Amino acid sequence: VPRIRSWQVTVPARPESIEAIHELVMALREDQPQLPDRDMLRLETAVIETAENIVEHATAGRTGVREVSIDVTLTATHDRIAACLRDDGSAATIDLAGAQMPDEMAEAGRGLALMRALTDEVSYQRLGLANIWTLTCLRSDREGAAG
Amino acid sequence: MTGFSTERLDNGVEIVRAVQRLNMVVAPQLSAVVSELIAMGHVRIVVDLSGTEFIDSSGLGALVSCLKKARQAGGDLRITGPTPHVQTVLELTNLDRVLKPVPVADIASGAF
Repeated sequence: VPRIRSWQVTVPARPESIEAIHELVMALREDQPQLPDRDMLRLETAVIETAENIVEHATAGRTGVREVSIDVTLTATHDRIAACLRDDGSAATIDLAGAQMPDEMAEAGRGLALMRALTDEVSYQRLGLANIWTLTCLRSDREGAAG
Repeated sequence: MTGFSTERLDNGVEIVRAVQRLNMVVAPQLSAVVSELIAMGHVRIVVDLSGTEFIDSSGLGALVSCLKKARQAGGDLRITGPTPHVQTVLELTNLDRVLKPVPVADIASGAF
């Protein structure tokens, strides 16, 4: 049975919470120093992209109502590191599968394409009143990995 | 107050030292610092990314915005010292084509 470890934090969906999510990734890195740095940085970047997307979009048009919160759970096993971000904000209107990297001189619009490029799997689903994002990076040091 | 420090070389090139994490919180600060330099007429800018371990699409967007502003003002913006992860993100987003690292030695000699 593969051993699974997890790290979790719940933060309000605000820009100033992004630092706490970086710190959660740092806690995982410190606790599991054997995880390859480049895989951790890929996951960290994808997680922060996702959290920033939630902060920007899930809270839109919600003035006067209860604040949106984000749950972040990171897991590490023998062959992968993964993240699940759950928020109770508005449904995301995105086309994850169709996300394309914009022109080099574009000042915005890279978030979703970058999330896909950094991860081996990424998914978004609306479940009841929650948005659920899952991000998976296969470990480059896993058995049978190329390179 | 921002986490960015700037240094003007004798040849007029401005070095902007970026922070450890270039995310949505600090990206607007980078844009503000560079805009201020350009407004003062300092249009040849190098962003030193040697201390930047993390960059996301907000940070990339700020760099592109700064590059465009510098060029519109008749100057240019280059980067120096990207860490391996930052270089990976630049390549994944094709920004390595427009944000080419300049060696430190070339900055002082004004060869960019």
